[in-house]
Amino acid sequence: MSDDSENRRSVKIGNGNSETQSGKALLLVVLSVMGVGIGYAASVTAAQILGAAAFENYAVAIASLSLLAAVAEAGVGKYALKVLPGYAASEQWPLASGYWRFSLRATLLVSVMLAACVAVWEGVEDNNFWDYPLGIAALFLPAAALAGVGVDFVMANRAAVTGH
Amino acid sequence: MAIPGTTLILLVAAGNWLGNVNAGIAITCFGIGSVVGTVLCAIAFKRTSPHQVFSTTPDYHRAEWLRECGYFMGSVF
Repeated sequence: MSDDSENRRSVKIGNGNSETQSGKALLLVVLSVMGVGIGYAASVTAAQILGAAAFENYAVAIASLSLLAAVAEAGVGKYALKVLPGYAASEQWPLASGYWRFSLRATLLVSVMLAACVAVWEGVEDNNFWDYPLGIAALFLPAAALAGVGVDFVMANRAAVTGH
Repeated sequence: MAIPGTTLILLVAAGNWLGNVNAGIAITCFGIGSVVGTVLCAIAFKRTSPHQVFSTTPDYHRAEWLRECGYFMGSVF
């Protein structure tokens, strides 16, 4: 009798966790679709506001920024997905503490160097700063790279799966 | 979602208030979205990490990390 009630309780808890996980997975799918939709809406809005010629400059600059941000991440975010859960599981907190600091510095160093290269290559010749979309995009390269690394770090903590 | 969302809000706001929006201003909107995304990720990482990740003295395995990150960066491309 006691065993039966214990088993029923276990099954109930198991189903509750499964339902919670399914609910969170569904929420993630909805959020992903919303993110794609908002990105599309932002592109359409930019095209409407800017017009054909300026939108071309905008699109090239954003595409270049995204590509350079992937380079500037220098693989630290992707490696975090592998290494941080291991450090947490084995409670190697000094290494976990060192890795996020190392990642922050590496990303900042690489992104600032890349941004400087772009600025030199772009070669600002007159005083009208707004005429250099790629140079403006390069200013935000560290932020774009850190955002990418940050998403990987949050995923490494399984926050996207567990919801806390 | 933070980056395109912030970009969209700022683009609409700039379109309404500034009138003449050029490519540089639109890219700045996207860049501010990246800054907002970075801040949100930092907050989320802080909230989801055990406190020891921030309170213990860091230890570094730089050579191993650099080598492995190089492999992972290569795998991205």
